[in-house]
Amino acid sequence: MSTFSCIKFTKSEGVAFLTLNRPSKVNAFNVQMRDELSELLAVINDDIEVQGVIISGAGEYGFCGGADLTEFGTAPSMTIARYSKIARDIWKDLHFILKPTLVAIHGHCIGTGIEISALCDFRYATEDTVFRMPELHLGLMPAAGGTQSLTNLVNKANTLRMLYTGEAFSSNQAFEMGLIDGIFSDRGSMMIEVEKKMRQIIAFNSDVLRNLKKSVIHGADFPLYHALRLEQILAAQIDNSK
Amino acid sequence: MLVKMFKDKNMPEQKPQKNIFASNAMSLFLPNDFQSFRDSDFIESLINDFSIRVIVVHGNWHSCEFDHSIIKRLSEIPIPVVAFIEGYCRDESLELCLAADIRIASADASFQLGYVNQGRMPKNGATQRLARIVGRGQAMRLLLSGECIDVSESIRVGLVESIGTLEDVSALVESICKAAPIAARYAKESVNYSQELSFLQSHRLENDLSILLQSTEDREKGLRSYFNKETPDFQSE
Repeated sequence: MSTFSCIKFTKSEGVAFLTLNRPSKVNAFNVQMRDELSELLAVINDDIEVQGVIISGAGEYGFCGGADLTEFGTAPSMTIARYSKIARDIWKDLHFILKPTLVAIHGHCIGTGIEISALCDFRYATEDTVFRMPELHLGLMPAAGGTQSLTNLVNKANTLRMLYTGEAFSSNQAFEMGLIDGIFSDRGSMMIEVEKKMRQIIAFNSDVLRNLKKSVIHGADFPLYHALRLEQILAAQIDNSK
Repeated sequence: MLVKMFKDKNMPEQKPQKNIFASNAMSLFLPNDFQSFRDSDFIESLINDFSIRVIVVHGNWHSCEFDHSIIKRLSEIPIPVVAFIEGYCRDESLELCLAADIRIASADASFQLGYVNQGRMPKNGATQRLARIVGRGQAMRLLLSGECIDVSESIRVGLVESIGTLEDVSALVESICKAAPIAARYAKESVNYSQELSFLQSHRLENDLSILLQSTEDREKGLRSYFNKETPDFQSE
């Protein structure tokens, strides 16, 4: 159904499947993929048929090999690079989308791949997955929220350790750190199980799910007093709609 | 003038040696090397010295006899900081290691915040940094009970990242030394603000720092080396 070239989009009984789809490049994240993801997240957000999102990567090599470095330095100036990154901030869209998001990771999960995962609600990986944040060793730094979203999952020290060293780590290490929520022996069983999990979740009242996520995501940005008020208001909305 | 004379008299001539670990690492041995931290010029010089890629704090943690203002100073240094904790680490020493970026402990390390037992409360960050590292529940437990925990418990609660020896720390340091130094400083700055700013503000900060990094030679060098399959030799430019 999609005319997108870098992301495959399918929908099945309430679940939207987004598949990073540049398998010959280990699904390296490029501008085209960013723009498609941006468009698709907006579609998913508005589509009342979609109640949950599962993100994965096409091909055997991995979920995502990181940003496509061949496109780095192609912006005409730093000012324009900054502006376009702010204008097309898909990391914000992914973070604030009010439907449950789950990512199923396999093979290589490098840089941007980890950052995409960190912005989702649930993360699962196959046991042979290799994680790595190589940015600092390439003279770069994470720019898809890695320095922000990772600290929520694995604390500041673990975040800095993986950034400073740029060393690869396994699914088991990722699980111990709290970066992923579960490990599967192979991709086939993972895709079946994560869909089951997502279906269990979206079986709940969708208004409750939306307000719950809204409270958690937005509340984290407020001082506690205001966050508690937000929670009360969102809960009252649910109670009043019954 | 008086202040200057006072400083001169009390300041040891010798600055901490750089060379116990990799050549780009600075070793700060507790408590001796910490005398230098009294000199704010020394901190300034450290901030401007891009030849130092990482600072390692190690030594005699059992002694809390150091100037506690260095905890604040250490936390203000933009360079990556690793703490290697051996033996019994309590109170101010524990607060000092909380100001490091990464904590590695030896198998015989133990940790205690005994302030409450002495009718005192911490004033060098334990009520703030500890909760940000181990979560509020575990922070409350350690602060309110005054309980001493061993190294495996300290790993479990997230107070230290791993158990290791000086050799393990040395290997870690070596790998940190290979990162682009300006990028490492910016990443540290961005990570350190992550818990203080809202999602949107913190992402803007990360974005702006990553754009600012585009002005560095090291970034070009890193990308060039990647495509040429070479190991980049970053120069902090």
